[in-house]
Order: sequence, then C-alpha cells, then structure tokens
Amino acid sequence: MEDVGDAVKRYFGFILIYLLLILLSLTSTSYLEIVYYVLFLMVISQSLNIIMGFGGLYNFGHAVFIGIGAYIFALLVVQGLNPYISMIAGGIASSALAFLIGIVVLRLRGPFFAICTLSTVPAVKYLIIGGKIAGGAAGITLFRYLGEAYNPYMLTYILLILSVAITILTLKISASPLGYSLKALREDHDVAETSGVDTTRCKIIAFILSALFPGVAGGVLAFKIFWVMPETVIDLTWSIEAILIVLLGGSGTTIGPIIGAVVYEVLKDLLMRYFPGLQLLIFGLLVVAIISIAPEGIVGLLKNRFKRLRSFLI
Amino acid sequence: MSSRAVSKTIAVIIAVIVIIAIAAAAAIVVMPPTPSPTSPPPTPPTTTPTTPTSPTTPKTTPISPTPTEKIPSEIRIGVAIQLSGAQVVEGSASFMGIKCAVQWINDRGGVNFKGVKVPLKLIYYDCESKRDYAVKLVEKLITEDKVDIVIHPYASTFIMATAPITEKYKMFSVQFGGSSDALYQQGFKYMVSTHGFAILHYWSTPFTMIKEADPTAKKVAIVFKDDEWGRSLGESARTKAKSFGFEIVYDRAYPPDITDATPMLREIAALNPDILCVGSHYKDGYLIATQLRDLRINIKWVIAQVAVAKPEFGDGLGKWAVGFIGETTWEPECKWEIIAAREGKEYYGPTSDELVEYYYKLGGKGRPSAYTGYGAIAVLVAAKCIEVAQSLNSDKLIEAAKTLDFYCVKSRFKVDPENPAKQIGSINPVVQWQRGEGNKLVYAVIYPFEFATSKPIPMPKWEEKEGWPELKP
Amino acid sequence: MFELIVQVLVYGVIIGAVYGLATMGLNLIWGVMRVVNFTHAELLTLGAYTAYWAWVLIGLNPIASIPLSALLGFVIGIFIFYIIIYRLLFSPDIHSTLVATFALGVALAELMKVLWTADYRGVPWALGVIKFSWFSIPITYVFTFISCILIIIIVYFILYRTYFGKSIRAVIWDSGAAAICGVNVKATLALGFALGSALAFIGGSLIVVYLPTGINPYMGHLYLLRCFVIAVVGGLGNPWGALAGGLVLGLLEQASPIVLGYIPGVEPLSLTPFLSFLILIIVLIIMPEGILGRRR
Repeated sequence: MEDVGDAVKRYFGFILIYLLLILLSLTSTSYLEIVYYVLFLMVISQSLNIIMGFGGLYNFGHAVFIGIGAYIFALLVVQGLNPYISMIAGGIASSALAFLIGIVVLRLRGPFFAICTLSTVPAVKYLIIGGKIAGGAAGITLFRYLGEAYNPYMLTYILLILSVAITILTLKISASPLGYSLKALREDHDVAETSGVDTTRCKIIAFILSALFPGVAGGVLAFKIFWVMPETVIDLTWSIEAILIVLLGGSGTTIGPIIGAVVYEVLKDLLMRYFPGLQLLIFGLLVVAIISIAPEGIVGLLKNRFKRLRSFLI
Repeated sequence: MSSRAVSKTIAVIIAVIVIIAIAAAAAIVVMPPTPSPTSPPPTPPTTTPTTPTSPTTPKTTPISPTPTEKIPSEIRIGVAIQLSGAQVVEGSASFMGIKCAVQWINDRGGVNFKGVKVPLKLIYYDCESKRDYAVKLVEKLITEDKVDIVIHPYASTFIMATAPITEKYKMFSVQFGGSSDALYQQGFKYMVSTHGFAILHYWSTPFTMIKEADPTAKKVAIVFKDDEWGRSLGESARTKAKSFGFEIVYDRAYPPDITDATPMLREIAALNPDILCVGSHYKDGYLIATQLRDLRINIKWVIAQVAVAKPEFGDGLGKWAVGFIGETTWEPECKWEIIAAREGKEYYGPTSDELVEYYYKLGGKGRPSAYTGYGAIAVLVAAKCIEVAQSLNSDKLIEAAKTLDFYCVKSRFKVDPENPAKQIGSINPVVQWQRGEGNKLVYAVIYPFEFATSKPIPMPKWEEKEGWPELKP
Repeated sequence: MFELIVQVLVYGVIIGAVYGLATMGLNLIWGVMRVVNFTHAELLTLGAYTAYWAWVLIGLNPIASIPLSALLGFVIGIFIFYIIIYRLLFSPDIHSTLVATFALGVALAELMKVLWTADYRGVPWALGVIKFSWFSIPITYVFTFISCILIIIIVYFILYRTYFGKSIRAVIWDSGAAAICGVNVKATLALGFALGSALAFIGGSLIVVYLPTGINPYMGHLYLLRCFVIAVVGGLGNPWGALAGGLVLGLLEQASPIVLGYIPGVEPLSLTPFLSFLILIIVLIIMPEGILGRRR
C-alpha cells in the first residue's frame, strides 16, 4: 500500500523535470522555443518507447505518424474546423494509419521490420507527391487560417499536456498485463507465444498507442510552421532523433525518454554554439558508443552508479 | 495496488495536471511581450563576427516602430540568411548583393531621413539552411536586436516560415528570394516582394521572343520538378503557352530528387515538340540537359529555368550548352537605366557596373552571379520606402511601398496596391548560351532588346555540335 | 511501340545491372553475418566521392577508379568491422548492429558534409553516343555495363574458386558447421564485410556515371529505398539475388512511368518509388526469402 508521500517520491523525477521546464518557458521567448523543442522530442520519443522500448520493435518509420497528423490537421483546418479539434483528429488518423500499417508489417521480425518501417518514410512521401494528394508537393499553406490564432505559449503547453499524458500512460502500461506481455515478447517472441501471450494483439495495440501522440504533435507542428509539405512534415530526422533519445535515455524505462530528450536538446544547443554543423556527426557517434558501451542508456548508467536513485528511475 | 493507493496516485496526478494548467493559464494571460534582455539566451547559431558596413556607428538605442519619431543614428536592417548548408550558394551570393547595396548607400551618407543622412546597419545571422533556425533568428532580430526592417531568407519555403513572425510583430519586411505565388496569397500585410512570381511572370518573355523569332513554332512540351516551385512554373508554363496559342503535347512532373529522366524524355522525343519548357532547379535542369544530349533528342527551342542561368551550366556542358535558354534575375550586362529613361521613370540605386565594382570591393571573386542583384534590390527597396515615408513606422512604410514605381539595378519595382506582397513590375531578362567568335562559349543576354548582347538562335542539333571543337568561355 | 519496349529493356538492363552491383554488398553481408548494414547508403556515397576526387585530382574516369574504390572500400570495411560490428555481433539484442550501422551512416554523412560541404558535385564524363536508328545510348553507359559484368565475373571467381570464397559460402550456409570444419569464422566475417563494403564503393563509383551533378553527402538516401527493395526482392542471403533484384528494379523504373502515365491525375515518375515500396512489402509478406533466397 502506498501513501501520497511514497507516490511523490516515486514520481519525483518527473515532477521536477516538468516544473523546471515550465519555469524555463516563462523566462524568455528563446527559452520558450527550447522548451517547445524538448517537449516535442519528449512526446515523440516517449511514444516510440512504447513500441520500441517495451515491445522491442524498432520502428524507423515513426516520423510518418507525425506527418499524417500534420496533414489531417491541415486538411481539417482548411475546411474550417477548430484547430485544437483538428489536432486530436490528427492523432486519431495517425492511430488508424498505424492500425493499417501494423496489420501488414508487425508480423515481420527484427531487421525486416526495421527495413520495412524505414522504407515507409520515403514511400509515403512519394505517394503524396506522386498521387498529388493534399496538394502534392506544394502542400497546404495555413497562414490565412491560423495566423491570427498563433500563440507559442499555447502550443508549448499543449505539448506539455501531451507529454504528461503519455508519461502517465506509459507508467500505467508498464505495470499492466499489456506491459508485461510486451516485455515478454521483446525478450523472446516465440517463448512468449507459447506461454499464451497474444503477441499479435499486443503488438497492434502498442503500435496504435505509439502513433496517437505523435499524430497530435504533428498538428502542433503544422500550426507552428504554417506550411504542410511532404518535405517539412515527413522527415526521417525525427525517426532518428526519437530512436536516439530512447536509447540515450534508457529504452524501456518511463523516465528514460524524458531525461534523454532534455540531455539531447541541451547537448544540441551546446554543440550548435561551439561546434556548429557537427551535431549529427557527434550524435551518430554517440549512438554507436551507447550501443556498444551503455545499452541501458543514461537511466541504466545512473542506476548502476547511484543505487539510491533506483526508486526514482522507473 | 489497492484501491486506496490507486486513488492516492490518481489524486497526485490530478494535482500535477491542475498545477500545470494553472501555470499555463497564468502564462498565457500574463504573456510577456519581450524577453528580459539580461539573460543571454542559448540561441542557436554563432553570431558571425563582422558587420561589414557603416563607418563608425556607436551602439545607441534603436528606434522601435512606434509613432514618435526621433532621428535615429542608424537604421537597423536584420537578415537571417543561408550562409551555410544546403542553400549556401544562393544564400551567400544574395547576401553579397545585400552587403553591396548597403555599402553603396552608406558611402553616399545613408538614407535621407528628415533632412539628415542616416547610415544603414546590417545585422545578420546564418540560419544554416534550416527553417526552424531561420524562424528563431528572425524572432531574435525583432525582439532582441530590435531591428527596424527585416529581410527574409532566400527561398519561398523559408519565407513562408519567417513571414508569420514578422507579421505577428507587425514589422515591415522585404522578401527578395521567393517566387512562389503562395507568398502573396496568405494575406501578409507588411511584407513587400521584389521579384516576380512563377505564375505571374515567368515564361512570358521567352515565349514572346520565340514567337517573334520563329512564328512556325507550335507544339510545347512541359516538364517540371514536383515541388512547390516546380509546380508553379509548370502551371505558369501551361497558362502562358495556351494564351500564346501554343499546343501543349506533354505536361508532366518529375520527382524532386530525380536521378534518371530518360523515360520521360523518350516520350517527349516521340511527340516531336518545337519547344521544351523545363521548370527546374539546378541539379535536375542539368540532368535533363545531359540526358537530352545523351539521347540525342533534338528540339528547336529549349528553355530550362534556373539551371541555365548559372555559369556552372556552361562549365559542365561546354559546347553542348549552346542553345539552351533561361530566364535570369540579374546579370552584370543589365542596363535598366536605359529603359527607365525611355519610360520616364526614376532610376534609384547603383547601376549594374557600380554594383559589380562593389562586388569586387567587398571581396567577390569571378563573375558576380545573378543573386547579387537579386539580393541588392531588397536593401534598395527598403531604403526607398524609408525615404518616401520619412518614417520607420511599419504602416507608413507599407503605404509608401504601395505608391512606388521605379527602376533599379534589378529591373522595375511596383507592387499591387491591394496586396504589397505581390510584385507586378519585375521583368526577367532572358539569357542563352551561344557560340561566339573564335570558338568561345558565350553567355548572352537576349532580352530585353535595349541591352541585349545578341539575338536568340534555335538550338543547334546535337549531331551538329558533335562536329564542333570544344568551346571555352 | 516496339521501339519503346526495346529502349526500356536496354536501359532497364544497363541501369539495373549497376543497381544490382551496388546492392550486392548488402546481400553478402546479411548472408554472412545476418547483419543489415544500414551504413550501406553512405558507403555508396563514399564510393561516389572517391570517383569524384579521382576525377578532379588525378583525372581518372569513374571506371578507371574502380580499383581505387575497391581498395578503399575494403580497408574501410575492415576498419568498421573491427571497431564496431565485431563487438555487437554476439550481443543479446539483435538490433544493436542495426542501430549502430544506422547511426554510423548518419555520422559518416555528416562527416562528408563537414569535409566536402553539401554542394552538389559532378563528374561530367561524356564520350558520345552509339546511335541506333531510333534511339541512342551514351558510350559511358555501355562501358559501365561492361565493367559491371566483369566485376560480377570477378566476384563469382572469388566466391567459387578461392578458399576465401568457399569459407564465405560455408559461413553463409551455416556458420556453426563451418566453424566445426575448421573455417576461421571471425576472419571470414571480417573479410566478408570488407568485400561487401568494397562492392558498395564500386557501386557508388559506377552510379556516378549516371548522375552528372548529383553527388552530395546525402545522395545515399536516394538509393536507400532502392537497395532495400533490390536486396529483399532478390533474396537477402544470396549475392546473385542482388543482381536479379537489380534487373527487376531497373526494368520497373523504366517501364512504370509509361504504364502509370495512363492513370489520370497522378505523376507517374514520382509515383514509381511508391510502387517499388509496395513490391517490397508484398515480397516481405509473401516471399521473405526473395526470388533467389533459400527456401526455409
């Protein structure tokens, strides 16, 4: 049995980080920008964590969910729908797409899954361009509909709410039968099957859940940049960053992607100031290092060094 | 977990959300307009060292665009531009033009402001060809560096991202680097454009020329890059071709990162068009040119946008480049002052020769690219607006812009009074690679006729070019 | 119509052969050590840059620079193998090599950008054309095709007539059994990887012939999708599968724009990559071992 004190202690890390972010966002507009990016990265990597960290399925095509969310948002806004409802619609559309992709792709194992999901990114891009869908390559411009309503604080706080929501969702999943099933099939798919885990159902649910929040975040992104085009919203870079952050923070932990996102953005800013142009290079090498030396990520490292922090690093 | 513990956890979570919601609401209600100048923000890129202009300008409090107007000691122009990354070539070349124009104005004392000459100060950052940096930097220029006027980065997609920022702060801004028609369809109120747009302006001059030079030309094939710019070019070619009475026999887009155009070109060859319109950027235009050569497809008139109007085109293709036509933005041979005089309009700013002088003075090498004039006009327009408005207030500046109709180094500036983001006066000179005396490869301006260096010629056949010796520029 | 078909066939085979060669390395590495080498795209790009610098600095045309590319590719392959891959081959997480090679690829692309900038470079090598009555083929394309054939013959020779080749085939078939038979598996893996890398470099150099100005650090992305489609369709474990897949894709790319052209309202040339993706998915689901792969 837990009382409030224990609960606060367990979630202390989360509360601390979120409060810091809120405070930071209020100090200046440049910090607001940074907090926006941190939260965006948090949302996409936390959602990826569900399928990758818990389920062990490396979805390289995560960026597609953001893109679809952005497109649905744009299409609805152009029809006159309220932007916030459009964002949620974007999330739902993304989940629907995840379902469709999932039933086809989730049966593939390991590297094949990776290849396939990696290929969905250029595939969707060319489908939109070649099929002249939603404006094709020219995309949809939104300034006319949204210019007046633009408020960076609002967008940042929407991301904040999304991030908190997905954190809570992840915590719940982690301790739930779904979570245990996912972790089981991550460790050994066949053993899990024979032990009675309905792997297909679990994978699909996890996949759908992992698409929901990036879809909404895609709407936020579209709101911010005002022009939804294949090259601006379907960008492999986010897949890369999400995977990097999950690995960096600690794959399969809940606080991992949160810490990872913060560390990543801080590192990125520092690198931009002292070694401009070298960020991705260093990050690429960093990932290689992490994989080789510290596959458990920052959370894993901290857990090993500072045994007392174990209860915070869930 | 027991139900009591569960409800405790939920209580905590709800408490957290409520706290966040309160903080968010408070922030939005209170929303601070400008940031505290004390915190040095870890904003992205390096502020590159030199501001290469204005003699000695002590740092004084800049004027914010509000009514009460003192005479400032300097007028601050902010630019976030691509000095590295994917658009480094266009960005830095345009920036060179900007610097030249600023220097030209400052060498004459500056802008006329209420009877005093006020120099311009250029404050710039490298956005590294990244849209979100450009956005951050423009916001920084407005809120922290407190510039008076903003010049947008090169390329329509960047401007679409930075324009909402300048519009949000109601800051007068100039965009020189975007020709996408979407830019004047957004309802931007404080932005002026200096360059013509794909749908409005492109293709008219080459078509006019071809109609004169070759009245028998009838069939047109159109190919264009499947991105925003290419599509506008394609649409423009389509409508103009129809209005000129041509027959469109082929009309297709190709993917932006095309590596092989042979399937498309083969189909076109079978249709035997007289004119081929290629709505391209550099890489794809060049690819199509080489594959036309490799497939030995002979078409009388070939117009390829952007790719042709670059010296690299001739460098790479040599004698094979002869015959290709393109529209350009500015060339050192341009003498718009002749046309201005003939039409009785004002000519403001340096002549092309003077601009070229400044280009070399500021360290430029080789032949100045078309982007030099392309960027220079942005500064000239800003300065002219200030002189006419005699104010740094955005509303006054934009009103002034609506009244302007003048010529400068980069042709005519006249905007639509209902929509200042819509440039209607700009004229694109037309160029063609030709074979000159002594086996020289010549980059000729063929339109406007007032300062053209030679007449247009139909594309010689590939088989004929085979027999030529190598041509050198 | 007949002319069109002939052109499609000729160009499809010529270009497809190069695609196939470029992907052979991917198939080989997977076959030998069950690693999907996500660095493949950047190795192609490095091969292209090798051809470029050979052209600019020494005046070698892309075909003449093949030995140089092969050597560089081989050395870099060994390097990558020992520094990164070897450690991860036996880790419990099958995704380690995947992510590591992917990240390495990203790092390499950025390194190239830092060293050589993101500007587009080109090798404008042209030798004229061979003219048939209704179409023409550039002579450079023909030479490239011939070089492909020669290299494929050399690879066949290596794989089937040398001890090294035999050990590679043994490890592909069953690495445990190979070890029992006295094959030095570690050395084989290293050399296999290096060979795959060399092939990627050569492929990159040859692709340059078709890309007059497209060389830049990120060009690998263009070929990423293509290589995967080829590798999977052809059969991942089998180097010849890459050739089969390459021919299929080459013909597809030449023919599909014409076929898609009949569908109103779409842009055929842009839709072709999506078509290849559909084929990838279909093959992965129905026939994951590909055309020439081992039937399990």
